[in-house]
Amino acid sequence: MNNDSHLLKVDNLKTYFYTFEGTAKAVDDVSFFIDKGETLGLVGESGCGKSVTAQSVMRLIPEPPGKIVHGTINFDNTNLLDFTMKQMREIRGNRISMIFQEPMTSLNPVFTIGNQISEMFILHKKLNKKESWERAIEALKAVQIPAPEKRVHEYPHQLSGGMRQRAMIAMALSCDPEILIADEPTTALDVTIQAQILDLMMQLKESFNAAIMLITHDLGVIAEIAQRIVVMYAGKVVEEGKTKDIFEDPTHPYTKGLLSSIPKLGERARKGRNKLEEIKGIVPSLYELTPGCSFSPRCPEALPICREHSPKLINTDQSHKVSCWLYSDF
Amino acid sequence: METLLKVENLEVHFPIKKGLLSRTVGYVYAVDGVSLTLEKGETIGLVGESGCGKTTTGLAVLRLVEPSGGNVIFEGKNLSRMSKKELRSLKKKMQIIFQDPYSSLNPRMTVNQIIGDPMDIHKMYQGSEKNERISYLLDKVGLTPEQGRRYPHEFSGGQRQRIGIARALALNPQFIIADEPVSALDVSIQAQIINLLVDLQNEFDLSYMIIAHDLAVVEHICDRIVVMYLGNVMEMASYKNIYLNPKHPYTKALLSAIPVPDPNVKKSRIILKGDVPSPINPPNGCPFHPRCAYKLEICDKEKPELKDIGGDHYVACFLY
Repeated sequence: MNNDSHLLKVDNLKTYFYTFEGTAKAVDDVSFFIDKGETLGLVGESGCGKSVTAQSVMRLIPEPPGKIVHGTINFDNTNLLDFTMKQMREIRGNRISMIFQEPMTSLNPVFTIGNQISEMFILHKKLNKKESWERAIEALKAVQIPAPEKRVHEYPHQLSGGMRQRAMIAMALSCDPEILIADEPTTALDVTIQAQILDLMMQLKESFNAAIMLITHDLGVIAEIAQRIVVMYAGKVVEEGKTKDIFEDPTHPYTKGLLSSIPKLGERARKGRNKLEEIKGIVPSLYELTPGCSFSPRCPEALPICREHSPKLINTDQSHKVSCWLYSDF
Repeated sequence: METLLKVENLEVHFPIKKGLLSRTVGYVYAVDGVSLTLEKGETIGLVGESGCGKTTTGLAVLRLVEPSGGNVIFEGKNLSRMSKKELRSLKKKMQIIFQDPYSSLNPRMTVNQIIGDPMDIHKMYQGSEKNERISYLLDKVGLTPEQGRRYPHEFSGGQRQRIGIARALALNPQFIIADEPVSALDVSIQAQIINLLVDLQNEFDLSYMIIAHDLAVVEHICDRIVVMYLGNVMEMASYKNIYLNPKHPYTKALLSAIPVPDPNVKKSRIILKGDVPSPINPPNGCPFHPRCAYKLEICDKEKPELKDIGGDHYVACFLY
């Protein structure tokens, strides 16, 4: 296989959850890639499988009920799915690290911030306690936490939300990872704090040259920082392309609907109020997916074939892919 | 235009109690002197970051929390001096829609019971009128009469928010407070609820107070916008003035912080330093001065008053 050019390449990933209510196909045949130093945005609504995709890459899916049933995750030309848990632990936090949405629940409340960051250096860089403590202070300085020498002794509850997210980022970047997975990193924060964190992430990305996989439902955040976008709906990739192409010329009816359904800041003040375009219906439950394209019950342009067969992800041009019968041959 | 609601110097201070005897050791200054007016048929938006007191202001207007000071005048009657009994008869004219459609509907009641409950409490639309009214309301919010026999857990988030809206409309109110009506919903569902709120306003001649942190949503729905910070009003103006001609440094920073879903827009972003201070120990003078880039000498000594700078545009800042 030729994956030399891509840092991470996910192929035909299927992650299912087996519960009493049935099988939830949370991630169903998802393929995408990330190149070195690139920022990839994974967009979708709740339940579309974007977080499960990220957790699958990190092999953090709780088994049971979940299971990665199919696919390959090639990182640096090795399949992460073949790794033992011990090998995986050497990758996590070291070469691929992750920051989560809610920093309060993902930091350990009974250890100090310094303790938790220095653990990274002790585990992955085999430094001694004193050295790693100093590196922890440096890491906090790098994420612009004021008075890091003091903060390093504090517990997570003593920090504000934005500060905690900074500490999380410090921890995630402490071992110079090649990929940083950020799962809704700013959703729990206020907009002015969100601006600080996004600004910080972009600055750090420049200096560390890490690839970022940003998971979010906020199209504004995606437009500002992602270079390429993968749009997901009900466990499948519906569209993939460069940020500019997706926003200027969306092809999938879901992407189109999503972009025209959000009110844009300043638009009413400049152009007057237009009725927002709605996407009809509700987000489907993963237990009751219809055959064919999952978006077809809500799609304004649905064809008869859409309700029978799922479309495949095909290229419309070199970098733009879409999964829709409107653009495929039957 | 006729003034429907007038809020004067509203204050809500929550006592902090500590120790064996629960002595009051301090106060959370959640709302610290808010004044605003709402005309009939108008929509006013309260925006700000978490902890700025926007929700508490909404609750205090309905006296769902007791204000510690100030007046709320609805249709010329002062709510803050009313007894509970007097207040009750006025409450059918004022309703509220909550943020979380999962916790604000009683899981043991069917939709019909949820919507019919306010009618029973206020003895309005009794007998056969009640069922007619319920199916009329369900139809108005886009649900079918058959769905009225179901329980809340059988509905999705957007549909639940529709049930909450139908309940708020049950008594034919004049004034509805909507506290973050769309923030718990999926992006593709938000537009449905926003459009529904706008349609219902035109149809029933409602006045709204929309409390939200999403400025794009607020701009779309509201005629006038109140920007709050740490329990104080920073700026109040029409949606046009707020977006095209913001005056207060905080409003400017807030607007510039919002990511725009258009990759071609390159913005000069004002990044505010630090966090929002605690409302237990708010800064002296202007509450925004520790983060403000245009701080003057007077800002940490005196609190600026909300001043009319012309064109129904009010700013609380010494720069103006």
